[in-house]
Amino acid sequence: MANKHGIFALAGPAALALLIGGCSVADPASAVVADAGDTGGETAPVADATEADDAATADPDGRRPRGDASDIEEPAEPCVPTESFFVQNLWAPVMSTTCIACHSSSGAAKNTRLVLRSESWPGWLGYNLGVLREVSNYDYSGVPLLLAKPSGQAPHGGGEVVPVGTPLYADLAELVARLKDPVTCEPPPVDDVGYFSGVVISTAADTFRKASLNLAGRLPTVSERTSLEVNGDAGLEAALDALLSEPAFLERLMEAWNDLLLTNRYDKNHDALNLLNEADYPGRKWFELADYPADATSKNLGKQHTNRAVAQAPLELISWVVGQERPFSEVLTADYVVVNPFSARVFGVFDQIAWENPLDPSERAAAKVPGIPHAGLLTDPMFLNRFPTTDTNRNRQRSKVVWRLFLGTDVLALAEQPIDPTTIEDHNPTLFNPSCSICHEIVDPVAGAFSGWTAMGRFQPPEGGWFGDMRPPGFEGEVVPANQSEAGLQWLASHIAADPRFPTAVVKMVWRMLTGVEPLKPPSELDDSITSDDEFAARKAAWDEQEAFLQDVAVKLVAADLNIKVAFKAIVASKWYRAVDLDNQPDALRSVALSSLGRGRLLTPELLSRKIAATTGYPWRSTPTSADTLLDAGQYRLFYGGIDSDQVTQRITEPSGMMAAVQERMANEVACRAVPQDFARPGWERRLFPQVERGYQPLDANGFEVPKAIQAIRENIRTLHQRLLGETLPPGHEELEASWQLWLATWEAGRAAVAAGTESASLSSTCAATKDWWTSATLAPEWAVSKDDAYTVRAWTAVVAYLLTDPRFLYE
Amino acid sequence: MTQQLHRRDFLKMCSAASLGVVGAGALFGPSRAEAASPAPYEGPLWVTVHASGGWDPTSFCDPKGSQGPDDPAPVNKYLAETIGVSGNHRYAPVAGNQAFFEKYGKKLLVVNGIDTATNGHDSGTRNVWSGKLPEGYPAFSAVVAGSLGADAPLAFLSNGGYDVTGSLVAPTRVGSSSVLTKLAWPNRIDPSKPDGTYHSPDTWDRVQAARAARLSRLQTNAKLPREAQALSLLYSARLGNSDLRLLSDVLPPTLDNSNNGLKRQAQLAVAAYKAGLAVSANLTIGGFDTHGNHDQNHFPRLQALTDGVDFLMEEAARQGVADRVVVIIGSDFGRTPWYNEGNGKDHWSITSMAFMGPGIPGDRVIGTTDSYHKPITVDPDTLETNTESGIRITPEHVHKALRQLAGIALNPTAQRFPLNVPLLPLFA
Repeated sequence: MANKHGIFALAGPAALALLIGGCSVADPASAVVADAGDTGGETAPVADATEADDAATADPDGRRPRGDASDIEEPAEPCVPTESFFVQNLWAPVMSTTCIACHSSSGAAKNTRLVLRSESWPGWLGYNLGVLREVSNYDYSGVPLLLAKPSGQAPHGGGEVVPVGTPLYADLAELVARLKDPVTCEPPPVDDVGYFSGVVISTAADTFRKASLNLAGRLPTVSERTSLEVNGDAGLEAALDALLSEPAFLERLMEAWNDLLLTNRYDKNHDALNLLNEADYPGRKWFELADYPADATSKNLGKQHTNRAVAQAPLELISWVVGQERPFSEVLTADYVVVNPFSARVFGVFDQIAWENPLDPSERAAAKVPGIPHAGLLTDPMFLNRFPTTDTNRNRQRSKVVWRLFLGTDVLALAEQPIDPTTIEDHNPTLFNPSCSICHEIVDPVAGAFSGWTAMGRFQPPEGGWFGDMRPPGFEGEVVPANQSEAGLQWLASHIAADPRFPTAVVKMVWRMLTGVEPLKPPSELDDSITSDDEFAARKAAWDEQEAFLQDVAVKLVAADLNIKVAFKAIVASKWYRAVDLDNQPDALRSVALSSLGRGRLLTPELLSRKIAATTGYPWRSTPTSADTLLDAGQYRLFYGGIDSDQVTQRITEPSGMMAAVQERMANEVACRAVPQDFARPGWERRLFPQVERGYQPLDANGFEVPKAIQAIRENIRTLHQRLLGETLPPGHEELEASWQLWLATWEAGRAAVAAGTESASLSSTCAATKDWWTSATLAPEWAVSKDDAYTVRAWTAVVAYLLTDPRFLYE
Repeated sequence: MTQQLHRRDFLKMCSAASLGVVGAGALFGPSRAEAASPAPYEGPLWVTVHASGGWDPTSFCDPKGSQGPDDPAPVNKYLAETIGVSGNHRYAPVAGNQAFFEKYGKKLLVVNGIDTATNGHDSGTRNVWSGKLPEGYPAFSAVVAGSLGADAPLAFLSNGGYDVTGSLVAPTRVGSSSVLTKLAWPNRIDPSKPDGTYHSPDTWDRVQAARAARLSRLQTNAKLPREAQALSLLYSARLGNSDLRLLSDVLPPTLDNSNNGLKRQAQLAVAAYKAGLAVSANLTIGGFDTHGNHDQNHFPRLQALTDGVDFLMEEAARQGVADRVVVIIGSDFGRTPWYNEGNGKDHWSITSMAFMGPGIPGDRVIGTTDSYHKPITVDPDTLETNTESGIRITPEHVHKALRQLAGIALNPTAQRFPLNVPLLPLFA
């Protein structure tokens, strides 16, 4: 009866609470959150019980179905929604293991009404309950078929697996009753109990800082911060609306999607253009043609703009759709490509568009390429090249990518149990052998929809149609109509757009972008690293809670006509994104349950690079026009865990010794530049040192304290903590004191060393600000910062370097 | 004061400041910070070489030759009578196999007939390198590095492949070697000039001490597990980064620039180990997923693989550590014992792995497959063929034995990811 972890021996209310999610361990009698968020907010009081059949009331364990009058008099009995009852009492112990072995799309009972889906399928719970609900409407000699079959009262190919009179039979009977009259429960009062009990969340202003750095690579403006400090959460949505309208957000979106689509691999030389067939696109290298006379520099610039626009066309489409707040499904259904004036010539659509400035690579337009049945990025040559096919692969890789990105389904994970292809004797195993067909019946129809597209992304429908020894092009049992066979991807795109898994997949993409981690997965019975029943239950509770939240965001996304900005706002405003602390020390199980909460995302090279520039005012690069050091593959991009979209496509998210060294190098180089350069500007223009001058010292020439200088230095340290770390600390806080002590000790020792002649009174030439870094204009002597006989510049450099390697700076 | 804190000095300083471990988020065992030891790692370098895409063992160490033009279903096109023999090894007469087996056969242990139970790339790679088919288990490289030397600055060098760590150790990815010296000397403006620094030596020490103290305070106060875990990982990462200068001392002046990426990866791995910074390394080479024109496409990759392993061993010898390098060679799975209509071979769940290094008996072949590359079960005690009551060798068996070989079977770090199969005497 019990599963591997014996969960069903966890009879106590606390264990039950952990299982069903949203129920406080500390207050087991409280109400619980309905699972999966698909109750639509409908609730039913505990007393509104349905009547269960006699079999259920005969449960020898004394368990009674909801609706038994005696339940009402037992106030400690927690309400258990139907979904949780199903998962706990039936799915985990028997259906996910015994039943599904046959009752799956590839099992022996695949042609029956009862075909279940494993937990690898997004939305599996709702789907399975729907199937069970339909089957529960049938009777066999007066006994519900759902009971009669597994108990052997009706013929059952799988034999007697749930004997009459057993507790499992009683649970199944109760499920039948619950399917007819679903049980929902009151949601818990917000915040007082349940999953987020004791979790401290960031203020609206701090939340916005985190979001603005992530999504737009900038700090909040003074007015934004002030507004949020005054209005709190009420002002957050408006601030986010403005943030999500900025071009920087769209660039960030492209960056995040490139982690999945990886088409930036072709953003160099002619790489993207070389992938286009010259016969299809005679203008692919238009800038080299005699029609466009120009000097070598201009031609090279034209090549760069053109190649980049073509390489990034799928990403530009995403940017276009989101920027115009169109339904996100249009990234699949768009009957156009997004071009700039340079790539428009490649695709032969330049004359379709009235360009404002045909030399502006940032100008965008949508255009239809003649003869191409566009289906958003699915028909983009770069997408098709990045995920190519072969004569034998037959677009299956492309199908796998579509399932993963847009339907949230890892098709290779659908094979829940190990397979044994060595038993294959079939003539066509992918069609007939369960070891293969378990995935191929999912993969192959979608692969077939790509049938008109070659390995190099050309549109060349096969003259003889699609392969006869594969499942026909289609989706989820539906076949592409014959008269649409050449527009199979358009047909597929419209079906994916209408599939309920699509918004869920989109929400999970947004989640990854905002949090840097994968959404939780349900704990697996096969996971031997789970050491106890309690740990299993804690993980399950966390997954329940998060999944319900993400499903709720998906509902909001659908209600907003798939405007993806709604998902961003919902997640940013949630406790999942804003959790920063806990008001108590969690025990081990609570830690497991809260494992995905809190700060801890190591910034990617891109995010860190933008944060450096946004906070200090100076990027980490050797010259104003060179590549950012962290993004340069010849320098630290790979060392710091980044990707090159080619050979290295997975980011490293945990710091190594090498990455710690990069952090130190960054802090020293950036502080060396930013501190003197900032002091070389008038006070009102400074980002780092608005409250001090470099002449400010704690002691005067006679050794007496200068209280105003000390006050200003301390106050500026407080400003640096706020600006660089996002910490708004009260004066006198121990962290401010620590920074002050570092400043003071450095200044005292350094000043003494200068006086003793063991250190120079000048900054090194590398750090000295004698020219404006951006313009190279020589600074007037009164503004230049090269002498430091008071050692204050170097004291500030030490403090800034210290803060630039702080976890609050390096992590989100 | 020295210009940079040495790792042991840093630890001493941390100890004096009561830094240690606070708030390291010990959920199910000691945190990495707790487990960190100042003792340098003195065991072998564990190198995994991943032939990405699914290699064909029948074209390498488990040969199946054709019976001739009349063979109705040849597994391969080369003739059975041309199969090579070197000691107890049999090898396919293609690519650079002959030279490889003749040079390394005496050191080499091959396990054939390993059942990966999958024909998916991701799951196969995961199973072969972690010992588990489901997601979540760390790569062996991560387990051994996390168990034996998590505080080494480059404990686990990863060049891709399967490098899930289970948070046992942070993987290090090595990029351009031209900036390595900058990382080795982060306080030097020009790494080659000791006198030109960003901060004076005293200031630099002061900044580092303040940084360590701040991290300790944050660890003390971190209650949410994700933050506690992140701070713990950062603490470990910082422990040894000052030793990076040692790497620049032993790196070859110029790294291999050929189109065989294995060679450059091997140079870095051996140098990092020689410098005392690394415990394990993942090396990868791609191009084995030959669904079309298998022989033409696959054999050159096998040649590059054996060339790369040979280069690794030669480099280890040049650095004086040849007798301390354990090499484990494997791939996602195998390839079908037939050619498809495109002269390619598709995915096949049966594979082989090869091993050599200290503690591994050479000139030995374990496990067999039939003429159609189906595994023949073996006796779990003797490893002899036993078709009646034998077992199929799985990656989990291999990993169980590898942990035993590495002496980490009972290590608490490794035990966080238990392997629940009998121990086979693969390396006995």
